Amino acid sequence: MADRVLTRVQGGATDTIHINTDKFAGVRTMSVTAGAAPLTDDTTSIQVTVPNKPEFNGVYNTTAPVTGNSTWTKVGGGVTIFPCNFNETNGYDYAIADSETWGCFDGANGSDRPWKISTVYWTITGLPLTETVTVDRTAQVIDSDRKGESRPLLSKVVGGAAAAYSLRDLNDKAGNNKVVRVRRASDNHERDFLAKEVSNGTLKNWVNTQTVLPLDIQALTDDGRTGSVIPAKAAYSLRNLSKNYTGNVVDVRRSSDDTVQGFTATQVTDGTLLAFVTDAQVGWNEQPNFANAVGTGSVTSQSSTATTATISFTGEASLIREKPAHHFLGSSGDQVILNISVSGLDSAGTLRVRTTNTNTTVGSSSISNGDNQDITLNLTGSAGYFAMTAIASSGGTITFNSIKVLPKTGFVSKWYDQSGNDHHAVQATPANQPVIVSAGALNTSGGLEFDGSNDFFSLTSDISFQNKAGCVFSLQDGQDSSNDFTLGNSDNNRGIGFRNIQTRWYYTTNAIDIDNSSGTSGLTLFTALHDGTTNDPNVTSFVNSSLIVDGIPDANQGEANVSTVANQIGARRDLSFLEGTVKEIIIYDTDQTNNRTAIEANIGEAYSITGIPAYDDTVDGFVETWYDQSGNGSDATQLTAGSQPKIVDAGSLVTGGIDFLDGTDTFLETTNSDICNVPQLSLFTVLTPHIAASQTAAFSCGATVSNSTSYGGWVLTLNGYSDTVGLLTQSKGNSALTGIFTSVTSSEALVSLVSTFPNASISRDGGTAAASSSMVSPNQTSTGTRKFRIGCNFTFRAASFYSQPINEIIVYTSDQTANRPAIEANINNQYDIY
Amino acid sequence: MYLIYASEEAAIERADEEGKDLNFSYWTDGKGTRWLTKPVPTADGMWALDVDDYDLDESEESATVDTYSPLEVGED
Repeated sequence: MADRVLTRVQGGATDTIHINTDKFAGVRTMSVTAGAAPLTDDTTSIQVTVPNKPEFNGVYNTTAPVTGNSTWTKVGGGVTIFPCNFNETNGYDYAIADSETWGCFDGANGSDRPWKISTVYWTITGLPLTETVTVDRTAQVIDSDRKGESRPLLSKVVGGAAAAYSLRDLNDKAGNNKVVRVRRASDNHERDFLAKEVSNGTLKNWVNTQTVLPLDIQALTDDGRTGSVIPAKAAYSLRNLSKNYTGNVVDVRRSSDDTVQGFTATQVTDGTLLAFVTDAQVGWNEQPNFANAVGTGSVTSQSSTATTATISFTGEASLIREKPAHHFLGSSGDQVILNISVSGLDSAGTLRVRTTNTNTTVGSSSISNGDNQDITLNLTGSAGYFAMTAIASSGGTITFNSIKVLPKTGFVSKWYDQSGNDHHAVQATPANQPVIVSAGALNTSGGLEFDGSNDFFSLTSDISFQNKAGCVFSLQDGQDSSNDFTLGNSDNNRGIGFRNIQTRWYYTTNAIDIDNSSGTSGLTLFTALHDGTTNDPNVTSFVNSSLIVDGIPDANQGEANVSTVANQIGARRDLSFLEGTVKEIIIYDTDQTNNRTAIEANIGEAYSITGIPAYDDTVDGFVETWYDQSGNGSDATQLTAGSQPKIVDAGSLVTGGIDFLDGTDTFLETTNSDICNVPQLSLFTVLTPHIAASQTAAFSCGATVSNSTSYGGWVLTLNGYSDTVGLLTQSKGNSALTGIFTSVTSSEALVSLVSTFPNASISRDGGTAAASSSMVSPNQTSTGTRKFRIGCNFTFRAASFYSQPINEIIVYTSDQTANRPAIEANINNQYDIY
Repeated sequence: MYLIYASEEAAIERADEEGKDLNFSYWTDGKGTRWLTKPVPTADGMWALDVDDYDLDESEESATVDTYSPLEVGED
């Protein structure tokens, strides 16, 4: 909490009062200066300032009764002010002197006091006035906050905590401060969480994130997902769908020269695939051998190297070309970059790129005389050979100084089945291959782009659902028609399609359509599931994991899957074609009702699809750091996984805060050794009491061990034999152990301890406090030992481990007796304890 | 099940190795969880590392012990 600054104007004097709100508690009085005392003939003390003789500055006193003849002596001695002359008109002159007189200053108007003379060599004022101010900093009990939404305790009620741990934000109502760092057991990943992320489910969902890849998901058993790995029938993606899959995910044909190469998932993302596709092709594919095809001109000479060519010609050479040649390779979208030198043309001609063996121009540029001209041609079709048209010369020469093709497009010729069943998706016809690289970059969608005209894959072996269940997960664009199948057949109309407003399952006798009244747009995770029965309904569909409820269920629900197989992706026969993005398809010929959400959750996680719920798994989340909210940086950490307390248990947020588990080895430790040796101490904690028959420490600084002079510190102890909570204190070197206790039950409790040692009182749930006036002021000389720890005592090692959840710990190294009601009210309103 | 080491450093080295294998945050992000378990001193001046959940090689398997004598709580 920030200090408060008050400016006060009183009697023409202005002064500023700084109130350290962190340290004030209750009613305090303090002295403040408030101007200067007035100077009168009876004044015996004055404040003297001598600008040219600063060693003379100070307070000077004289004795009563004061007269014009009095001598004033500087406090501390050595300097005096005394009268040095007198006359009836001007009164007294006054001198100031130490061992020698520094000056004798003229009096005026009958002056009879040093401050009444006319001198400008000194300033004399009355002494500063001191005023006692009473400040009531007792925090107010606030009962207007909504239950469970108490205002931030430290910033709005009582600040100045030495350490503060909670899962709520103790400083910011919006909950934007980090409160905890959590390790999830599934993959040991760690993340910091804001207070609001604890309460709004973000933390829980993160812990429950389905990190298990779809092809690695195991069947549910009584112990969780510990059964056999669930085999998929086929699985296609640009990522690996199993941690064990290391093969290629796609074969890609590049546009420049039709070279095909396979790529792993890593190579898709690390730039290898893109580098392959966009690798510049330098030089000729076939060195040219031009001839004149039309007109009266003729080629008089020509020569070429692997990267250059020169042709000379004469006459009305209207068309010089080599039609059957593949001078270079390229496709629509590719760029051809030339450098040419031209001379002798009568007028500008045209340089064309044409598709080999055709007259189709797929790129052209005007050419005229000049050296080293750069020309860039953007191909609109397959290349090609060069043709020079409408050129006329009595003796001209064109030199190709360089030629380079920049490929821009990559096509998928094979999408590998990662299931191990070799249902690979292949397309040998270039024109029918979906695109993975366009305009020189991976598709912005991150998937494969189907053109909706003729792009599709055939499967290298058929997939049958006959008399079985089936389940298809597809992350793709929703289609305009339910016939634009994701999974289809080359010979009949059966298949599975995902329309924006409808899912079609048609491996049954008749198509089963499930209408989605709300519709979808853009990339969507579609799921179609046939449970393998003939019950009505046996086909369900999900959009981003949400069940589609068809207002008028299809009459064909209940039909079994028949003999027709799936043998292509992206098309119904050769009639209807999928259009847009497809990123992932996973196909099962088994009922995945029990595993659907686990699979969908992983896909949702992998592609950051909002709205797909975290899979309700059995994942645990552990606290690596419980952040100190006091501003003192005393974060409580545990670097050893086996000793970390738990915050998410089997997928659910722990009730009661952070669970210190079985009391064997779980604790958090700070580097703070400054709150052990303290004359005053106040503790407020919300915890579930340990009531088993043993003694544990909820938190501690140092240790307390009776009948030993080797230990010292303080411990909030839970005695399960007597069902009490208490503060134990000890001073190292003194075997005396003192304690103050109050009773607890197994229910979550608010424990409050306030003390100015040796006086202390402790209470539970805002009740009557037990008091002691003989508590030892804790002391421990070892800075290592006296660190603040949560969940244990500490002798030479952690011990007396706590066994229950703790919600909140606030530590003040001050006596918060006056503020106790307000603090307790704030805490109880938050946790509704009593 | 424990492995006994003559020095804390040697035990920590083995604990570090396991922590790396488990992709703990300390080894991937430079902060956070470092070990699965941490060695503790034994009564005879050695260090015991709880390796119940460790991936042990054959020589380590053969070297494990079921119990050890912990260092008694002594003077601080």
